Amino acid sequence: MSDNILLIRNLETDYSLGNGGYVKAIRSLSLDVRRGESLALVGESGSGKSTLALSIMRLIEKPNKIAEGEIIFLDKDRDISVLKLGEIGLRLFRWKKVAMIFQSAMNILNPVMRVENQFIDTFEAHNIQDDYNQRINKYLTIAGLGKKVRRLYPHELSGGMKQRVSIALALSCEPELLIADEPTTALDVVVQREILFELRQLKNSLNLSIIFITHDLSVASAVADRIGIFYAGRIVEIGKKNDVINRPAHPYAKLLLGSIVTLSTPRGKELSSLEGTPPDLSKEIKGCSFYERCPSHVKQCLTYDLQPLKVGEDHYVECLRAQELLDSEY
Amino acid sequence: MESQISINENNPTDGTQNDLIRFVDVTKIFKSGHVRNYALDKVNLSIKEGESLSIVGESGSGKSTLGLVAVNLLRINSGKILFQGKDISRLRGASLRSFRRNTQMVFQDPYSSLNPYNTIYQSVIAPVNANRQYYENLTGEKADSRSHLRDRVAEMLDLVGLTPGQNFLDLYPKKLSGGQRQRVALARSLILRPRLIVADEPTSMLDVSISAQVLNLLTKLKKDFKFSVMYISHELGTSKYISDKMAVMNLGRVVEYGSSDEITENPMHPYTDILIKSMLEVGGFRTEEPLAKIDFGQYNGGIVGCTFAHSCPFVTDQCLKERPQLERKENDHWVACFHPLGR
Amino acid sequence: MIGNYNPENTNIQASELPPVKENLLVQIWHNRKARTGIMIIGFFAIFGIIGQIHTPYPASFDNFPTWLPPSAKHWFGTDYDGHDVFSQFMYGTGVSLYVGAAVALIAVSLGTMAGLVSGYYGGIVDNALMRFVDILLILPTFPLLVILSTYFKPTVTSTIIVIGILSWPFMARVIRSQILTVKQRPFVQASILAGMPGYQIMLKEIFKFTLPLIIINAVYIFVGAIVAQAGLAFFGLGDLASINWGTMLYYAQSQDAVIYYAWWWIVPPGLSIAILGIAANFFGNGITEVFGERAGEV
Repeated sequence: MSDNILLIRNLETDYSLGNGGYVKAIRSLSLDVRRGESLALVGESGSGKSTLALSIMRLIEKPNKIAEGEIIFLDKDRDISVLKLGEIGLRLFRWKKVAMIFQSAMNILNPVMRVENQFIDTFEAHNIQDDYNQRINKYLTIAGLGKKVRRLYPHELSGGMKQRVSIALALSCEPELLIADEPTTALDVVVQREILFELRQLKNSLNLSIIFITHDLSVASAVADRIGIFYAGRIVEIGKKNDVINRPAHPYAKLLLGSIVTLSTPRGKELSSLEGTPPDLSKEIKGCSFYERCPSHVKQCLTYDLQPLKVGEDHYVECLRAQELLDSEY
Repeated sequence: MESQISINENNPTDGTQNDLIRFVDVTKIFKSGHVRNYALDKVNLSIKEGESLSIVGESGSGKSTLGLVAVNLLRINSGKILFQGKDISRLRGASLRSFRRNTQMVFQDPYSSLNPYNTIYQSVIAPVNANRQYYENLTGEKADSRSHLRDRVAEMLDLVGLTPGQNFLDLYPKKLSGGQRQRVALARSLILRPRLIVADEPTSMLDVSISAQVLNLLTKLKKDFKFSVMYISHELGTSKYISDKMAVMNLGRVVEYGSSDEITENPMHPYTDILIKSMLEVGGFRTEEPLAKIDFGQYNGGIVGCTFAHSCPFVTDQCLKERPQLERKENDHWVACFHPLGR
Repeated sequence: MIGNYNPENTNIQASELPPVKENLLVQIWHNRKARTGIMIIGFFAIFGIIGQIHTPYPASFDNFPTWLPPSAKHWFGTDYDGHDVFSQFMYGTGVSLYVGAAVALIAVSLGTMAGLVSGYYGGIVDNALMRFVDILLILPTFPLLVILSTYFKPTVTSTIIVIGILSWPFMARVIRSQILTVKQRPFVQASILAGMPGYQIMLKEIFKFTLPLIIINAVYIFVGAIVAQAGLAFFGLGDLASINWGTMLYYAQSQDAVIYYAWWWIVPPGLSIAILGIAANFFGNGITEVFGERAGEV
């Protein structure tokens, strides 16, 4: 198949409830990320999409744990098993191979350091030897910022500029994969568009792979080549952007799309309403996790073994009736 | 009497009696040190009975401040706010409290708009307890027995989709999800049958599917209770979805006002144009063309000319020297710009 | 964010929940830390009350042989003067706890009132009160206690008043800042819009948030007062004729109990003070947890 950069196999990440019990935030999830693609993972809060990002970065801390599975990063010359990395390996893996930007840029930026010093710190931590000055300027320019920014403190920057600095910082060690966790959620619409534009451009010019995590399908569709829909710790549908948006096969994906309001939504149109709440992930779930809320469930769904079914080229859905529903609707 | 003239000139309404609330030259200044920050700079607007108006703008545009002064949680520095023809901006004490029966607010953060130590019943019944006599006149029923009031609150909870309402009465907010809390907040705001609901980004902290439920609910309640809505949001999609009227704000001023369809389809103010082009659709960007960069960084209030002049691609000398007034350009479309688009 | 799972999505339908109102007292009792604290303090309280009514020997009877080690007849032995230490300890516990409780009552009333008034009215009242509090907080408490108690006629009551007056400022501060924080929350704005008058918002909506602080501070002041009184007595200040933990330690020290290896005289009052301090901490932590759970903030 095509050239992959990251393989995730049967990953399970558990959050401790503090009383000996665990919430399975990610449930036996498998995923391939391709080299040079941008993959958007869309889901609602608690669906596990951010947990996946933290798991890839190995940022899951005790008492929470990655209970099972494998994450393999396919480097140019060798394969890195991310879950087996030691402390030093991990430090080089983070930022040099995979970098991350967050919803709040302040998660990356140190409020009491000038922007340029933050870069230098990063370079020193990752043994980068070449001309710091040149490198800082290069990446600030790439992120659409002027040299003036170097001498400023984070609080002197606007929200959009902060996010640009954090993008520049994330890219400055030349990672091959960038994970962006809701990078534009806290920003105004005009700035959001600018940042999304920028990210899309960077992907092409630097041949980056991007995992884009968001709750907003319209944001996802602006930047992604492929879209994966998260529900209850699993990816229930994944496929090319246009396939997922125009021919969603999973009932959840369909409902999610129907509940979005954009400028082209007619006034007063009844929005799709998703009744009930997601399942309790601290308990064993039999069959399909969407069963109880699903308008088209049948008995067999309860014994479904969660094998993704192919419904089109490069389009996989975790629903027994996917093909049937697609055929009847489109 | 002199302000009467300025109303007719500047206020984008027909000046008829059916204005529910009307803002006349409303100005609110926040001082920080020596800097006078104009959160609202001579705002003129009105909402009719049963109408809904969306206030859109980016952060810092003053839209939330406008919501707070509409319900008199903030005092204005100058201007007037006429509610059913009466100036309410300087009310105090008991007369202020009786005005408050007419307006209610739904807040952005459902996690802090309910008191965690109060049960759902206690939260929803609070307005009735504070306005016992008014409530009795309103409903024509005695409001003295607790079981009767509990039934009324349960009915209200049913109406906002918390069914069966009886089961929710004695719960504490922590047992409810964000969407459920926002429903409780709606129930509380509706129990005195107010004429105006100010909703300040009521869905921005909710998940997409939950937000859709709240929007559906708001649409339904608006029909059933026939109240006016002032819907405040940075998000044009939901703003247009909820309201037939829209006002676009920028740095404390209303730059465009009119029917939401008109504004979103044929924006006249360059700022509105950029806002709309920046919105996303399911499928991607609305336009691939490069847009002018907006930078409001260095100004905060007290601007002589147009607030958008420094980012505007069509700026002229006039824009820097003179403040453009809101003027009617089409039947239901007002814009504050010397060089409106499409003209 | 990291590692902090938001269980928002695991919410159950309300129809599945039993609509019970949790009783605050029951909830406190079910908290292990709070219960441990209550049991320890309760034990001392009962022990002290019994000591006021009945002791094995009269507490001031001093005709036993001196420096007797613990035995079946004298559980905690006897002291330099031939007092029965157990009887003295039993009686003294009551006096010490009485001092603590009385001081807590004074300080909690003053502190709560000042905090509420200051936080609610704000402005000049707030400024005046808080500057006064600042002055009291700046003054080093213990030396001030020493100075003040030399001016008053040394009785138990005067000690209570002096400690009480010096214990409330911190509490006023804490309660005021809590009120200022809570006042900012949107539900307070919602109450204003509901048409509730200011004092009602204060009492019905905001006051509940200060309750855990009041309870916790009350317990800390209670223990703090016992320690302060013992400290004063240890330096020979206050009413030395009164029998309590402080005076017991004072005489043990001044009559060289250590040289006579009379640990039985020192350990009971000394250890009790320490245990009471631990109990107060248990209780305070427990209360914090209980109120946190109630508000859904833990």
